[in-house]
Amino acid sequence: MTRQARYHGPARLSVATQIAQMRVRHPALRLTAWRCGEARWTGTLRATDISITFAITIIYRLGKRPRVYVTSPLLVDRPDAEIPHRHSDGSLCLHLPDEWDSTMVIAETIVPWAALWLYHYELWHATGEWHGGGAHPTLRPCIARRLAEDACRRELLPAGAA
Amino acid sequence: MTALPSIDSRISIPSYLNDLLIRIAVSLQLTPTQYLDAARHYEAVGKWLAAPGSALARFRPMIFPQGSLRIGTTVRPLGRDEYDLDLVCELALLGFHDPVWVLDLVEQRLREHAIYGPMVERMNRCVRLNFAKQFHLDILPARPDLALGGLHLLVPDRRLEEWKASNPKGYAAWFDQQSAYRRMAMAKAIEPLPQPEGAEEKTPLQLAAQLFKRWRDVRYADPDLAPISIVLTTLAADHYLGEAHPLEAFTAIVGRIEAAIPATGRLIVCNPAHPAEDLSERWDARPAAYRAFVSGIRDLHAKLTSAPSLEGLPRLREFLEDLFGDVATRALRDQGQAIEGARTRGGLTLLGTARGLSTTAASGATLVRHNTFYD
Repeated sequence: MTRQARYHGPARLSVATQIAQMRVRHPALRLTAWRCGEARWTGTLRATDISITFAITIIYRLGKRPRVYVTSPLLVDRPDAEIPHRHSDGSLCLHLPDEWDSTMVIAETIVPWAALWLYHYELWHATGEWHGGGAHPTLRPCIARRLAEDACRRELLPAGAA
Repeated sequence: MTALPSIDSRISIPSYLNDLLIRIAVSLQLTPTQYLDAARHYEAVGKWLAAPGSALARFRPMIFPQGSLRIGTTVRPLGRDEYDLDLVCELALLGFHDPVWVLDLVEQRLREHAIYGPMVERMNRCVRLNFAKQFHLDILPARPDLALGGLHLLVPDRRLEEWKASNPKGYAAWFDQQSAYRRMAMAKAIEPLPQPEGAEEKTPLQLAAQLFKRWRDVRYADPDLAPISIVLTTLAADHYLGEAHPLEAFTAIVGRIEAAIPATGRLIVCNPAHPAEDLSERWDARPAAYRAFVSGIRDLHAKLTSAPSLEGLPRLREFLEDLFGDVATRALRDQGQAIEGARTRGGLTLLGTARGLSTTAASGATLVRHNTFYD
């Protein structure tokens, strides 16, 4: 007698799988901590051959949003505006809440998005305009904004995680 | 259509910087629409001059473009909209004719035209048609130089009341030959991103000549100090040795010009199509202009040499703005839009954490999937 396997959708990837994928895809992002189900990678990322090489840290806890922090050089505001598309803990806002889940490979999603974010950050400094698109608080109804913020906040770990 | 240079490890020239330089040069040249417009007008002018009833008809006028329009190095002037475009109107004038009479004949015929008549402006060596906000079409009458033969022409000079030697076709052929070194290599070598319209046919020499002229416009506010276009274009073509990318070409050209500056006396720039002609003769009367040129070249070379080590788009923008003016920011914006366009089409990849973004699907590259930066 055979039992039909029930389909549950794509499987959530383990932290170990994320680590293995990262090592294959982006060996320069080194695993610097892995304990209690949380992995940390640090390394450098450069968006183009004329871009600044940024040092970044990625923190991932299974089931949570991977967080990307830029550690050096420090991200700075423009004289006329604050840095767009960042969470309140300083990590980069790379995707809408429903655009990433734990079935996705960080090395294939979060890392390229971070490179693109850094490119647009530099371009924003150079031109004064954000050319990377995205959902802007000024463009969305405030309810949608609050939902987005809440989703963001729920993902945050206690202060000091960065 | 596009390949990313940074894939090729032999090329150390920053590809995104080359992409920006291409965008700057292309943004300065005639747009395809303007080009077609200019071509339409010049054909109409040619027909009008040759039409039955024209006093010129018996000289069988033939119109052809010369200068930047012919060799593909047009640059929008700083502070005004109109490009300067030159057309030669070759007339089968044999024997002696008064140069001023010939200029007047062309002017008179153009003034009879319903549309072009009101646009006519009399100049020293040509008759100008002013197309407001678009371009000036300078129509230079010319006649074959029977003594020198070949492509050599004689052109009238109103002030001097004499015929001067000229060889626009010979010059263009020489420039094309210098340019041709690299037409093929360019096509597949460098662009990290889909190029703007009109870029794919450009050679590194043409781009370098455009950048050179733009740099001149930005650097020399005083027109009396600014080196003239034909001098810069000739120097560029003369010192071009087949470099594959605009930055490399421009840097090498300027470096070789700097090295060619003699310790005493001055640099002499001969017309390659007419070696007896010193294109730079006005430096004799204007030593200050020559000194300004020499210091400009030294400064430009030092800056271009430092370019590959510049890091970061804000720093690059300052650098490019210093050399080429406000078109720098637009080039950066265009590049950003090209990247966004590639991302939207699902054609943007990350080559690696050190190599950055590309529109190339190289092995090992990671596709940048759809995402929305949100706040």
